[in-house]
Amino acid sequence: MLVHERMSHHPITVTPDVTVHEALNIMRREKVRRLPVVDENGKLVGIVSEKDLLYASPSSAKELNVYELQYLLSKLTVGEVMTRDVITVTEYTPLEEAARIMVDNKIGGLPVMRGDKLVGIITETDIFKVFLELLGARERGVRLTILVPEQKGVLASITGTIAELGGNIIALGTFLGEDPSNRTVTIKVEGVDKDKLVNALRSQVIEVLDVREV
Amino acid sequence: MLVKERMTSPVIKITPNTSVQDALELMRENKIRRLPVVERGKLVGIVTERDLLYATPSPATTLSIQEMHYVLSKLPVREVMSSPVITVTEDTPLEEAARLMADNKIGGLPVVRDGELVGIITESDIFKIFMEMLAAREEGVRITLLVPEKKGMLAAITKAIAARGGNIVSLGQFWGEDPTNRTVTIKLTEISPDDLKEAVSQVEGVKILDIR
Repeated sequence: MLVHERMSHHPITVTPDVTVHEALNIMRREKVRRLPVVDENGKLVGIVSEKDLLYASPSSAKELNVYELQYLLSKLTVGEVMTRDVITVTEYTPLEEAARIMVDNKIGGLPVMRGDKLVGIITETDIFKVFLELLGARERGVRLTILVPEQKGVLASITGTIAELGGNIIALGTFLGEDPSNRTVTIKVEGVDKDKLVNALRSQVIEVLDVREV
Repeated sequence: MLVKERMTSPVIKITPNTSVQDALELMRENKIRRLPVVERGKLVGIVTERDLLYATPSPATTLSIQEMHYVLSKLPVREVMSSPVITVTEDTPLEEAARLMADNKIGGLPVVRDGELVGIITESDIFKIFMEMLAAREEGVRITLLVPEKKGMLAAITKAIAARGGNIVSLGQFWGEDPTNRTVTIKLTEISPDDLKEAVSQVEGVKILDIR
């Protein structure tokens, strides 16, 4: 799964001369929490988040009255508060790599570039939806979590058993186990009875950690 | 994978009488974006950094900046917190917690046991699990396949890979281009990209979308 398959195309952008006030209005209207900043030639020059804008204040705020403060705030532009060193990805960056960049840099969204051209934006929210897909969060079935040995062919034998029982695997996720010798696997299966499934798999797993119908 | 396996516990919390200013400082110190509000041991609300940043005393225009700061510093979170709170339990599956966050557009859920706050699970926790699932921090060959939506396909693919000696580090299933197929991303070690290509091409109906 690559970034271009789940990004938003044609993101809403602002230019550096847009006021902070106007940028906040755009965010509220469009229900977005960050805006890429482009110059008059469409080149990406920065990014602003709602938080950057909410924390924005004129430098010498202490000595001002509310009117002066509001006046200065109304003049403050995106160019003055934006982040200039923008971390970007390309359309062909794997989604999990985009997720890793967001986590490691504590940022919620990444502009997507094709060469010099801004072609999209991928956000935490997009990645979130992919996670829901991955674990079949919106689908019904028997949900099983098992602890399996970390060795070759284990997934093949488990999925083989489920196929023999006539079950259809809706979702399958592998996680780190309790230690490096094992892994946790969560599977959602439809078309097979809960008890039958557990009985058939018991001999192939270290432990059945959880089973439920969802 | 259940909420209790990945939640943060114990939780940093505040009371309804904590001031907006103190709550903001607590968030900055601890690098967190939301605080559950607890009164007499019971969860009564939650505030986000955003709630606090948007908080203003109502008749602000007649105040000087010093007065406004003073009023804000005294404003209790009770006035700006969200209540009632959407919560989960320790036994809620993680994908269900993620679904609740997505559907309600919220970034974190307090975890309760009999009305008592025992933890918190946030977007960031879910994010880390997502990376674990797709082994974002591990090395290997990564292949993405378009697979017909029918029984036994995953079994056939994993069997073909095992037969070639490949070790599956992670496997994720996504929706495909339409309801008749699915996309599967697998990360593997101990197999060359060429052997892998050959292994999966033996499985009927499978198309390689990407390999790297």
